[in-house]
Amino acid sequence: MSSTDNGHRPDLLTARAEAAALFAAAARNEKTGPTAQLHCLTAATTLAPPPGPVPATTDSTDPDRLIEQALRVLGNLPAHDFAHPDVLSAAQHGHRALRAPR
Amino acid sequence: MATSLGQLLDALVDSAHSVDDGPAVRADAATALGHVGRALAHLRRDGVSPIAGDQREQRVAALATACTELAARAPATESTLTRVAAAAADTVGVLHAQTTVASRWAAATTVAETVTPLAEVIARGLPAGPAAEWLAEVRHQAVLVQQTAALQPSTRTDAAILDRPVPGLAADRSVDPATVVPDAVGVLLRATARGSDPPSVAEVSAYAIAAQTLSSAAERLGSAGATAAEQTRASDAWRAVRVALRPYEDGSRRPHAHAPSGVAAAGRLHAVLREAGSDPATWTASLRASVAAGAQHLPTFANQLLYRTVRHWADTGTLIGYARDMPPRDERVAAYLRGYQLGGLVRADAVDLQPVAGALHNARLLSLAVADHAADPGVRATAGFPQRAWAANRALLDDPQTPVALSEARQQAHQQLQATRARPGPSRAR
Repeated sequence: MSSTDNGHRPDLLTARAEAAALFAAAARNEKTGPTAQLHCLTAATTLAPPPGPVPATTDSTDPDRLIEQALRVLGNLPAHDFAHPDVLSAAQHGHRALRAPR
Repeated sequence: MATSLGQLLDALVDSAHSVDDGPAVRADAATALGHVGRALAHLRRDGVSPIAGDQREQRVAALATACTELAARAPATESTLTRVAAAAADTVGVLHAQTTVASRWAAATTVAETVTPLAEVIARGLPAGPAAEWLAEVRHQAVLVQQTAALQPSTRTDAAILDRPVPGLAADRSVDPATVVPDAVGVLLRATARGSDPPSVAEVSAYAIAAQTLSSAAERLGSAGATAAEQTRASDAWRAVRVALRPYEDGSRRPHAHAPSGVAAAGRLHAVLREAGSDPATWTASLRASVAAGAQHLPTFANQLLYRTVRHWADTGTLIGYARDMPPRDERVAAYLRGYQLGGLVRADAVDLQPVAGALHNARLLSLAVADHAADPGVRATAGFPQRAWAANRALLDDPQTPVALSEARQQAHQQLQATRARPGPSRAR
Protein backbone atom coordinates (compact mmCIF):
# COMPACT_ATOMS: atom_id res chain seq x y z
CA MET A 1 0.00 0.00 0.00
CA SER A 2 1.49 3.33 -0.98
CA SER A 3 1.62 6.41 1.23
CA THR A 4 -1.04 8.08 -0.91
CA ASP A 5 -3.81 5.56 -0.30
CA ASN A 6 -3.37 4.63 3.33
CA GLY A 7 -4.77 7.82 4.79
CA HIS A 8 -1.41 8.92 6.29
CA ARG A 9 -0.40 11.76 3.97
CA PRO A 10 0.52 14.88 5.99
CA ASP A 11 -2.09 17.12 4.32
CA LEU A 12 -4.81 14.52 4.83
CA LEU A 13 -3.76 14.00 8.45
CA THR A 14 -3.86 17.75 9.04
CA ALA A 15 -7.36 18.02 7.54
CA ARG A 16 -8.62 15.07 9.57
CA ALA A 17 -7.13 16.50 12.77
CA GLU A 18 -8.65 19.91 12.05
CA ALA A 19 -12.10 18.44 11.37
CA ALA A 20 -11.86 16.19 14.43
CA ALA A 21 -10.96 19.18 16.63
CA LEU A 22 -13.93 21.13 15.29
CA PHE A 23 -16.31 18.20 15.88
CA ALA A 24 -14.90 17.76 19.39
CA ALA A 25 -15.34 21.47 20.12
CA ALA A 26 -18.95 21.29 18.89
CA ALA A 27 -19.53 18.20 21.06
CA ARG A 28 -18.52 19.97 24.25
CA ASN A 29 -20.33 23.22 23.43
CA GLU A 30 -23.10 23.84 25.95
CA LYS A 31 -25.51 24.90 23.18
CA THR A 32 -25.26 21.49 21.50
CA GLY A 33 -28.12 19.07 22.22
CA PRO A 34 -27.38 15.53 23.52
CA THR A 35 -28.07 13.80 20.18
CA ALA A 36 -25.90 16.26 18.28
CA GLN A 37 -23.17 15.86 20.92
CA LEU A 38 -23.17 12.11 20.36
CA HIS A 39 -22.91 12.51 16.59
CA CYS A 40 -20.10 15.05 16.97
CA LEU A 41 -18.18 12.79 19.36
CA THR A 42 -18.61 9.85 17.01
CA ALA A 43 -17.43 11.96 14.07
CA ALA A 44 -14.43 13.22 16.03
CA THR A 45 -13.36 9.75 17.20
CA THR A 46 -13.99 8.21 13.77
CA LEU A 47 -11.44 10.58 12.32
CA ALA A 48 -8.88 9.26 14.83
CA PRO A 49 -7.53 12.62 15.94
CA PRO A 50 -4.04 12.92 17.41
CA PRO A 51 -3.99 12.59 21.22
CA GLY A 52 -4.00 15.80 23.20
CA PRO A 53 -6.39 18.52 24.35
CA VAL A 54 -8.78 20.18 21.92
CA PRO A 55 -7.96 23.89 21.43
CA ALA A 56 -10.36 26.04 23.47
CA THR A 57 -10.37 28.96 21.05
CA THR A 58 -13.53 27.76 19.32
CA ASP A 59 -15.68 27.30 22.42
CA SER A 60 -17.61 30.55 22.03
CA THR A 61 -18.58 29.82 18.43
CA ASP A 62 -22.06 28.57 17.54
CA PRO A 63 -21.82 24.76 17.41
CA ASP A 64 -23.61 24.58 14.05
CA ARG A 65 -20.91 26.81 12.55
CA LEU A 66 -18.23 24.50 14.00
CA ILE A 67 -19.90 21.44 12.46
CA GLU A 68 -20.33 23.22 9.11
CA GLN A 69 -16.66 24.22 9.24
CA ALA A 70 -15.63 20.63 9.96
CA LEU A 71 -17.80 19.40 7.07
CA ARG A 72 -16.23 22.02 4.81
CA VAL A 73 -12.73 20.81 5.75
CA LEU A 74 -13.74 17.25 4.86
CA GLY A 75 -15.67 18.32 1.76
CA ASN A 76 -12.62 20.12 0.37
CA LEU A 77 -10.53 16.94 0.43
CA PRO A 78 -9.87 15.25 -2.92
CA ALA A 79 -12.72 12.87 -3.80
CA HIS A 80 -10.64 9.72 -3.22
CA ASP A 81 -9.75 10.94 0.29
CA PHE A 82 -13.33 11.90 1.05
CA ALA A 83 -14.34 8.37 -0.07
CA HIS A 84 -12.32 6.86 2.80
CA PRO A 85 -14.88 5.07 5.03
CA ASP A 86 -13.80 7.00 8.15
CA VAL A 87 -14.15 10.36 6.44
CA LEU A 88 -17.48 9.43 4.84
CA SER A 89 -18.82 8.18 8.15
CA ALA A 90 -17.65 11.33 9.98
CA ALA A 91 -19.35 13.51 7.36
CA GLN A 92 -22.60 11.54 7.78
CA HIS A 93 -22.47 12.01 11.55
CA GLY A 94 -21.83 15.71 10.97
CA HIS A 95 -24.98 15.93 8.85
CA ARG A 96 -27.00 14.13 11.50
CA ALA A 97 -25.65 16.49 14.17
CA LEU A 98 -26.81 19.46 12.09
CA ARG A 99 -30.30 17.93 11.86
CA ALA A 100 -30.53 17.00 15.54
CA PRO A 101 -32.23 19.33 18.06
CA ARG A 102 -30.13 21.99 19.78
CA MET B 1 -50.57 3.46 8.73
CA ALA B 2 -48.66 6.69 8.20
CA THR B 3 -44.94 6.59 7.55
CA SER B 4 -42.29 9.11 6.55
CA LEU B 5 -39.42 9.27 4.09
CA GLY B 6 -36.93 9.42 6.95
CA GLN B 7 -38.34 6.27 8.57
CA LEU B 8 -38.18 4.38 5.26
CA LEU B 9 -34.60 5.45 4.53
CA ASP B 10 -33.49 4.54 8.07
CA ALA B 11 -35.18 1.15 7.65
CA LEU B 12 -33.42 0.67 4.31
CA VAL B 13 -29.97 1.35 5.81
CA ASP B 14 -30.69 -0.88 8.84
CA SER B 15 -31.89 -3.71 6.58
CA ALA B 16 -28.85 -3.38 4.33
CA HIS B 17 -26.57 -3.70 7.36
CA SER B 18 -28.38 -6.77 8.72
CA VAL B 19 -29.04 -8.92 5.63
CA ASP B 20 -27.11 -12.15 5.03
CA ASP B 21 -24.95 -12.72 2.00
CA GLY B 22 -26.29 -14.60 -1.01
CA PRO B 23 -27.16 -14.19 -4.69
CA ALA B 24 -30.83 -13.44 -3.94
CA VAL B 25 -29.92 -10.78 -1.37
CA ARG B 26 -27.45 -9.19 -3.78
CA ALA B 27 -30.09 -9.12 -6.51
CA ASP B 28 -32.55 -7.62 -4.03
CA ALA B 29 -30.04 -4.87 -3.11
CA ALA B 30 -29.37 -4.11 -6.78
CA THR B 31 -33.11 -3.85 -7.53
CA ALA B 32 -33.45 -1.62 -4.47
CA LEU B 33 -30.73 0.63 -5.91
CA GLY B 34 -32.91 1.01 -9.01
CA HIS B 35 -35.65 2.49 -6.84
CA VAL B 36 -33.10 4.71 -5.09
CA GLY B 37 -32.14 5.92 -8.57
CA ARG B 38 -35.82 6.55 -9.32
CA ALA B 39 -36.14 8.66 -6.13
CA LEU B 40 -33.00 10.65 -7.00
CA ALA B 41 -34.16 11.20 -10.58
CA HIS B 42 -37.52 12.48 -9.26
CA LEU B 43 -35.82 14.89 -6.87
CA ARG B 44 -33.46 16.12 -9.57
CA ARG B 45 -36.33 16.65 -12.02
CA ASP B 46 -38.18 18.76 -9.44
CA GLY B 47 -34.95 20.66 -8.70
CA VAL B 48 -32.33 20.23 -5.99
CA SER B 49 -30.57 23.52 -6.60
CA PRO B 50 -31.68 27.13 -7.06
CA ILE B 51 -29.36 27.29 -10.09
CA ALA B 52 -30.38 24.94 -12.88
CA GLY B 53 -27.67 22.51 -13.99
CA ASP B 54 -25.20 23.30 -11.21
CA GLN B 55 -22.99 20.79 -9.40
CA ARG B 56 -25.74 19.54 -7.07
CA GLU B 57 -28.02 18.69 -9.98
CA GLN B 58 -25.24 17.15 -12.08
CA ARG B 59 -24.10 14.89 -9.26
CA VAL B 60 -27.58 13.77 -8.24
CA ALA B 61 -28.37 13.08 -11.91
CA ALA B 62 -25.16 11.07 -12.37
CA LEU B 63 -25.87 9.01 -9.24
CA ALA B 64 -29.46 8.39 -10.35
CA THR B 65 -28.25 7.17 -13.76
CA ALA B 66 -25.59 4.90 -12.26
CA CYS B 67 -28.12 3.33 -9.85
CA THR B 68 -30.61 2.75 -12.68
CA GLU B 69 -27.96 1.22 -14.95
CA LEU B 70 -26.76 -1.13 -12.21
CA ALA B 71 -30.32 -2.25 -11.39
CA ALA B 72 -30.94 -2.94 -15.09
CA ARG B 73 -28.13 -5.51 -14.97
CA ALA B 74 -29.45 -7.31 -11.87
CA PRO B 75 -31.75 -10.36 -11.92
CA ALA B 76 -35.38 -9.30 -11.42
CA THR B 77 -36.30 -9.94 -7.81
CA GLU B 78 -38.24 -8.27 -5.03
CA SER B 79 -37.68 -8.74 -1.34
CA THR B 80 -37.32 -6.57 1.77
CA LEU B 81 -34.72 -4.11 0.47
CA THR B 82 -36.57 -3.59 -2.82
CA ARG B 83 -39.93 -3.11 -1.11
CA VAL B 84 -38.58 -0.52 1.34
CA ALA B 85 -36.64 1.33 -1.37
CA ALA B 86 -39.70 1.31 -3.65
CA ALA B 87 -41.85 2.73 -0.84
CA ALA B 88 -39.23 5.45 -0.24
CA ALA B 89 -39.16 6.34 -3.95
CA ASP B 90 -42.98 6.47 -4.04
CA THR B 91 -42.94 8.67 -0.92
CA VAL B 92 -40.65 11.15 -2.68
CA GLY B 93 -43.32 11.42 -5.37
CA VAL B 94 -46.16 11.78 -2.86
CA LEU B 95 -44.30 14.57 -1.02
CA HIS B 96 -43.67 16.47 -4.27
CA ALA B 97 -46.13 19.31 -3.54
CA GLN B 98 -44.81 19.78 0.00
CA THR B 99 -41.15 20.17 -0.99
CA THR B 100 -38.93 23.14 -1.75
CA VAL B 101 -35.56 23.22 -3.51
CA ALA B 102 -33.77 23.19 -0.15
CA SER B 103 -35.84 20.34 1.29
CA ARG B 104 -35.35 18.31 -1.91
CA TRP B 105 -31.59 18.75 -1.53
CA ALA B 106 -31.87 17.54 2.09
CA ALA B 107 -33.87 14.54 0.89
CA ALA B 108 -31.43 13.80 -1.97
CA THR B 109 -28.40 13.79 0.35
CA THR B 110 -30.18 11.44 2.77
CA VAL B 111 -31.24 9.16 -0.10
CA ALA B 112 -27.61 9.17 -1.31
CA GLU B 113 -26.48 7.98 2.14
CA THR B 114 -28.41 4.73 1.58
CA VAL B 115 -26.40 3.95 -1.56
CA THR B 116 -23.12 2.96 0.15
CA PRO B 117 -24.62 0.25 2.44
CA LEU B 118 -26.63 -1.17 -0.48
CA ALA B 119 -23.52 -1.15 -2.68
CA GLU B 120 -21.61 -3.05 0.03
CA VAL B 121 -24.24 -5.81 -0.05
CA ILE B 122 -23.87 -6.15 -3.84
CA ALA B 123 -20.06 -6.01 -3.81
CA ARG B 124 -19.67 -9.11 -1.60
CA GLY B 125 -19.67 -11.55 -4.52
CA LEU B 126 -19.97 -9.61 -7.71
CA PRO B 127 -17.78 -10.96 -10.53
CA ALA B 128 -15.93 -8.58 -12.85
CA GLY B 129 -18.04 -7.30 -15.72
CA PRO B 130 -20.39 -4.47 -16.66
CA ALA B 131 -22.35 -4.73 -13.39
CA ALA B 132 -19.14 -4.43 -11.35
CA GLU B 133 -18.16 -1.39 -13.39
CA TRP B 134 -21.51 0.24 -12.76
CA LEU B 135 -21.22 -0.63 -9.07
CA ALA B 136 -17.88 1.21 -8.91
CA GLU B 137 -19.55 4.16 -10.64
CA VAL B 138 -22.46 4.07 -8.16
CA ARG B 139 -20.04 4.18 -5.23
CA HIS B 140 -18.02 6.99 -6.80
CA GLN B 141 -21.08 9.11 -7.56
CA ALA B 142 -22.54 8.50 -4.06
CA VAL B 143 -19.31 9.85 -2.57
CA LEU B 144 -19.46 12.91 -4.83
CA VAL B 145 -23.05 13.72 -3.78
CA GLN B 146 -22.08 13.38 -0.12
CA GLN B 147 -19.01 15.53 -0.69
CA THR B 148 -21.17 18.24 -2.22
CA ALA B 149 -23.51 17.89 0.76
CA ALA B 150 -20.55 18.41 3.12
CA LEU B 151 -19.81 21.71 1.37
CA GLN B 152 -23.49 22.73 1.22
CA PRO B 153 -25.17 21.10 4.24
CA SER B 154 -28.94 21.30 4.77
CA THR B 155 -30.51 23.13 7.69
CA ARG B 156 -32.82 21.64 10.32
CA THR B 157 -35.79 23.32 8.66
CA ASP B 158 -34.95 21.73 5.29
CA ALA B 159 -34.43 18.28 6.79
CA ALA B 160 -37.85 18.36 8.50
CA ILE B 161 -39.36 17.08 5.21
CA LEU B 162 -37.90 13.67 6.12
CA ASP B 163 -40.33 13.44 9.06
CA ARG B 164 -43.43 14.60 7.13
CA PRO B 165 -46.11 11.92 7.68
CA VAL B 166 -47.41 10.22 4.55
CA PRO B 167 -50.82 8.62 5.12
CA GLY B 168 -51.43 4.95 4.42
CA LEU B 169 -54.01 3.59 2.01
CA ALA B 170 -57.65 4.54 2.70
CA ALA B 171 -58.63 0.84 2.65
CA ASP B 172 -56.14 0.10 5.45
CA ARG B 173 -57.36 2.85 7.77
CA SER B 174 -57.34 1.72 11.36
CA VAL B 175 -59.71 2.84 14.12
CA ASP B 176 -56.88 2.84 16.66
CA PRO B 177 -56.59 6.51 17.75
CA ALA B 178 -52.79 6.23 17.87
CA THR B 179 -52.84 5.33 14.16
CA VAL B 180 -55.61 7.73 13.15
CA VAL B 181 -53.73 10.82 14.39
CA PRO B 182 -50.57 10.55 12.21
CA ASP B 183 -52.63 9.31 9.27
CA ALA B 184 -54.99 12.30 9.47
CA VAL B 185 -52.12 14.75 9.94
CA GLY B 186 -50.52 13.32 6.79
CA VAL B 187 -53.75 13.79 4.83
CA LEU B 188 -54.17 17.38 6.07
CA LEU B 189 -50.58 18.28 5.16
CA ARG B 190 -51.07 16.84 1.69
CA ALA B 191 -54.44 18.55 1.23
CA THR B 192 -52.92 21.96 1.94
CA ALA B 193 -49.64 21.47 0.08
CA ARG B 194 -50.70 22.49 -3.40
CA GLY B 195 -50.84 26.23 -4.00
CA SER B 196 -52.44 25.78 -7.41
CA ASP B 197 -55.45 23.74 -6.27
CA PRO B 198 -56.22 25.04 -2.79
CA PRO B 199 -58.96 23.76 -0.48
CA SER B 200 -62.26 25.65 -0.15
CA VAL B 201 -63.27 27.84 2.79
CA ALA B 202 -65.45 25.03 4.15
CA GLU B 203 -62.54 22.58 3.95
CA VAL B 204 -60.15 24.96 5.70
CA SER B 205 -62.74 25.51 8.44
CA ALA B 206 -62.87 21.73 8.97
CA TYR B 207 -59.08 21.54 9.01
CA ALA B 208 -58.94 24.35 11.59
CA ILE B 209 -61.30 22.36 13.84
CA ALA B 210 -58.97 19.35 13.60
CA ALA B 211 -55.94 21.55 14.32
CA GLN B 212 -57.76 23.08 17.29
CA THR B 213 -58.60 19.62 18.68
CA LEU B 214 -55.06 18.32 18.15
CA SER B 215 -53.43 21.37 19.74
CA SER B 216 -55.88 21.23 22.64
CA ALA B 217 -54.89 17.57 23.20
CA ALA B 218 -51.19 18.44 22.92
CA GLU B 219 -51.59 21.28 25.42
CA ARG B 220 -52.78 18.79 28.02
CA LEU B 221 -49.62 16.71 27.59
CA GLY B 222 -46.37 17.51 29.38
CA SER B 223 -45.75 18.96 32.78
CA ALA B 224 -46.46 22.65 32.19
CA GLY B 225 -50.18 22.22 31.50
CA ALA B 226 -51.20 24.63 34.23
CA THR B 227 -48.95 27.37 32.89
CA ALA B 228 -50.20 26.89 29.35
CA ALA B 229 -53.82 26.94 30.49
CA GLU B 230 -53.44 30.44 31.90
CA GLN B 231 -52.32 31.89 28.58
CA THR B 232 -53.89 32.12 25.18
CA ARG B 233 -53.09 28.79 23.65
CA ALA B 234 -52.62 27.32 20.20
CA SER B 235 -56.13 25.84 20.35
CA ASP B 236 -57.51 29.36 20.90
CA ALA B 237 -55.45 30.61 17.97
CA TRP B 238 -56.89 27.89 15.71
CA ARG B 239 -60.37 28.82 16.91
CA ALA B 240 -59.55 32.40 15.98
CA VAL B 241 -58.67 31.17 12.47
CA ARG B 242 -62.19 29.77 12.09
CA VAL B 243 -63.66 33.03 13.40
CA ALA B 244 -61.55 35.02 10.92
CA LEU B 245 -62.85 32.84 8.06
CA ARG B 246 -66.52 33.54 8.82
CA PRO B 247 -67.04 36.58 6.55
CA TYR B 248 -65.66 34.84 3.45
CA GLU B 249 -67.63 32.71 1.06
CA ASP B 250 -66.82 30.66 -2.02
CA GLY B 251 -70.00 28.63 -2.37
CA SER B 252 -68.53 25.65 -0.52
CA ARG B 253 -70.58 26.12 2.66
CA ARG B 254 -73.43 23.88 1.56
CA PRO B 255 -74.29 20.20 1.89
CA HIS B 256 -71.97 17.96 -0.16
CA ALA B 257 -72.71 14.42 -1.33
CA HIS B 258 -69.23 13.24 -0.35
CA ALA B 259 -66.72 14.75 2.06
CA PRO B 260 -63.30 15.43 0.49
CA SER B 261 -60.52 13.22 1.88
CA GLY B 262 -59.09 16.10 3.93
CA VAL B 263 -62.43 16.84 5.59
CA ALA B 264 -62.98 13.14 6.32
CA ALA B 265 -59.50 12.97 7.89
CA ALA B 266 -60.19 16.09 9.95
CA GLY B 267 -63.44 14.51 11.14
CA ARG B 268 -61.67 11.28 12.11
CA LEU B 269 -58.97 13.14 14.01
CA HIS B 270 -61.52 15.24 15.89
CA ALA B 271 -63.70 12.21 16.70
CA VAL B 272 -60.92 9.96 18.06
CA LEU B 273 -59.45 12.69 20.24
CA ARG B 274 -62.88 13.62 21.62
CA GLU B 275 -63.61 9.96 22.37
CA ALA B 276 -60.21 9.52 24.03
CA GLY B 277 -61.28 11.88 26.83
CA SER B 278 -59.73 15.03 28.19
CA ASP B 279 -57.25 13.49 30.63
CA PRO B 280 -54.07 12.29 28.90
CA ALA B 281 -53.38 10.03 31.89
CA THR B 282 -56.20 7.78 30.67
CA TRP B 283 -54.75 7.57 27.13
CA THR B 284 -52.52 4.78 25.92
CA ALA B 285 -48.81 5.57 25.72
CA SER B 286 -48.98 5.23 21.94
CA LEU B 287 -51.80 7.81 21.72
CA ARG B 288 -49.81 10.26 23.85
CA ALA B 289 -46.82 9.74 21.56
CA SER B 290 -49.02 10.16 18.45
CA VAL B 291 -50.51 13.41 19.71
CA ALA B 292 -47.07 14.81 20.58
CA ALA B 293 -45.73 13.68 17.19
CA GLY B 294 -48.73 15.10 15.30
CA ALA B 295 -48.35 18.45 17.09
CA GLN B 296 -44.84 18.78 15.62
CA HIS B 297 -46.43 19.25 12.18
CA LEU B 298 -48.99 21.92 13.17
CA PRO B 299 -46.59 24.84 12.44
CA THR B 300 -45.96 23.47 8.92
CA PHE B 301 -49.71 23.00 8.46
CA ALA B 302 -50.35 26.65 9.42
CA ASN B 303 -47.52 27.71 7.13
CA GLN B 304 -49.00 25.89 4.16
CA LEU B 305 -52.45 27.38 4.80
CA LEU B 306 -50.92 30.83 5.06
CA TYR B 307 -48.49 30.79 2.16
CA ARG B 308 -50.29 28.49 -0.26
CA THR B 309 -54.04 28.47 0.40
CA VAL B 310 -54.68 32.05 1.56
CA ARG B 311 -52.15 33.44 -0.90
CA HIS B 312 -53.94 31.64 -3.74
CA TRP B 313 -57.31 32.94 -2.55
CA ALA B 314 -55.88 36.46 -2.47
CA ASP B 315 -54.19 36.21 -5.88
CA THR B 316 -57.19 34.76 -7.68
CA GLY B 317 -60.00 36.61 -5.89
CA THR B 318 -61.78 33.31 -5.25
CA LEU B 319 -63.64 34.52 -2.16
CA ILE B 320 -66.43 37.05 -1.81
CA GLY B 321 -67.94 38.66 1.25
CA TYR B 322 -69.81 41.70 2.49
CA ALA B 323 -67.69 44.84 2.63
CA ARG B 324 -69.27 45.47 6.03
CA ASP B 325 -67.55 42.33 7.44
CA MET B 326 -64.13 43.13 6.01
CA PRO B 327 -61.43 45.56 7.13
CA PRO B 328 -62.69 49.12 6.37
CA ARG B 329 -61.23 50.70 3.21
CA ASP B 330 -61.87 54.05 1.53
CA GLU B 331 -62.61 52.49 -1.85
CA ARG B 332 -65.25 50.22 -0.30
CA VAL B 333 -67.44 52.97 1.24
CA ALA B 334 -70.29 52.51 -1.25
CA ALA B 335 -70.34 48.74 -0.83
CA TYR B 336 -70.10 49.18 2.93
CA LEU B 337 -73.12 51.47 2.99
CA ARG B 338 -75.17 48.97 1.00
CA GLY B 339 -74.85 46.66 4.01
CA TYR B 340 -75.94 43.04 3.74
CA GLN B 341 -77.51 43.48 0.31
CA LEU B 342 -76.33 42.05 -2.98
CA GLY B 343 -74.57 45.33 -3.78
CA GLY B 344 -72.61 45.07 -0.55
CA LEU B 345 -70.73 42.01 -1.76
CA VAL B 346 -67.11 42.45 -2.80
CA ARG B 347 -64.38 40.15 -4.05
CA ALA B 348 -61.77 39.61 -1.32
CA ASP B 349 -58.18 40.54 -2.15
CA ALA B 350 -54.98 40.29 -0.10
CA VAL B 351 -55.88 43.30 2.06
CA ASP B 352 -59.35 41.91 2.80
CA LEU B 353 -57.81 38.58 3.80
CA GLN B 354 -55.39 40.13 6.29
CA PRO B 355 -57.46 39.00 9.32
CA VAL B 356 -57.21 35.38 8.12
CA ALA B 357 -53.49 35.72 7.38
CA GLY B 358 -52.94 37.30 10.80
CA ALA B 359 -54.90 34.55 12.58
CA LEU B 360 -52.88 31.85 10.76
CA HIS B 361 -49.62 33.62 11.61
CA ASN B 362 -50.63 33.57 15.29
CA ALA B 363 -51.72 29.92 15.05
CA ARG B 364 -48.34 29.02 13.54
CA LEU B 365 -46.36 30.69 16.31
CA LEU B 366 -48.52 29.31 19.13
CA SER B 367 -48.42 25.85 17.49
CA LEU B 368 -44.62 26.02 17.67
CA ALA B 369 -44.91 26.62 21.40
CA VAL B 370 -47.40 23.79 21.98
CA ALA B 371 -45.35 21.39 19.81
CA ASP B 372 -42.32 22.03 22.00
CA HIS B 373 -44.43 21.81 25.16
CA ALA B 374 -45.80 18.39 24.16
CA ALA B 375 -42.38 16.96 23.27
CA ASP B 376 -41.19 15.98 26.74
CA PRO B 377 -38.07 13.78 26.95
CA GLY B 378 -40.11 10.60 27.48
CA VAL B 379 -42.15 11.15 24.32
CA ARG B 380 -39.08 12.15 22.32
CA ALA B 381 -37.48 8.81 23.14
CA THR B 382 -40.34 6.84 21.53
CA ALA B 383 -39.76 5.18 18.18
CA GLY B 384 -41.13 7.17 15.28
CA PHE B 385 -41.09 10.54 17.07
CA PRO B 386 -40.32 13.15 14.39
CA GLN B 387 -36.99 14.30 15.82
CA ARG B 388 -36.11 16.33 12.72
CA ALA B 389 -39.43 18.20 12.73
CA TRP B 390 -39.02 18.94 16.45
CA ALA B 391 -35.45 20.12 15.82
CA ALA B 392 -36.75 22.47 13.11
CA ASN B 393 -39.40 23.81 15.51
CA ARG B 394 -36.79 24.30 18.23
CA ALA B 395 -34.55 26.17 15.81
CA LEU B 396 -37.40 28.63 15.15
CA LEU B 397 -38.18 28.96 18.86
CA ASP B 398 -34.50 29.67 19.57
CA ASP B 399 -34.55 32.63 17.17
CA PRO B 400 -34.02 35.76 19.33
CA GLN B 401 -37.07 37.44 17.74
CA THR B 402 -39.48 34.59 18.43
CA PRO B 403 -40.33 35.34 22.10
CA VAL B 404 -41.55 38.84 21.19
CA ALA B 405 -43.49 37.52 18.18
CA LEU B 406 -44.99 34.79 20.36
CA SER B 407 -46.11 37.27 22.97
CA GLU B 408 -47.72 39.45 20.27
CA ALA B 409 -49.41 36.40 18.75
CA ARG B 410 -50.90 35.47 22.15
CA GLN B 411 -52.18 38.99 22.62
CA GLN B 412 -53.69 39.23 19.14
CA ALA B 413 -55.37 35.82 19.31
CA HIS B 414 -56.81 36.75 22.69
CA GLN B 415 -58.11 40.09 21.37
CA GLN B 416 -59.64 38.40 18.33
CA LEU B 417 -61.57 35.96 20.50
CA GLN B 418 -62.60 38.69 22.94
CA ALA B 419 -64.00 40.72 20.03
CA THR B 420 -66.00 37.67 18.90
CA ARG B 421 -67.41 37.14 22.39
CA ALA B 422 -68.44 40.79 22.49
CA ARG B 423 -70.41 40.25 19.26
CA PRO B 424 -71.52 36.64 19.31
CA GLY B 425 -72.85 34.87 16.23
CA PRO B 426 -72.76 35.88 12.58
CA SER B 427 -73.74 39.45 11.82
CA ARG B 428 -76.27 38.38 9.23
CA ALA B 429 -78.43 35.45 8.29
CA ARG B 430 -76.63 32.78 6.26
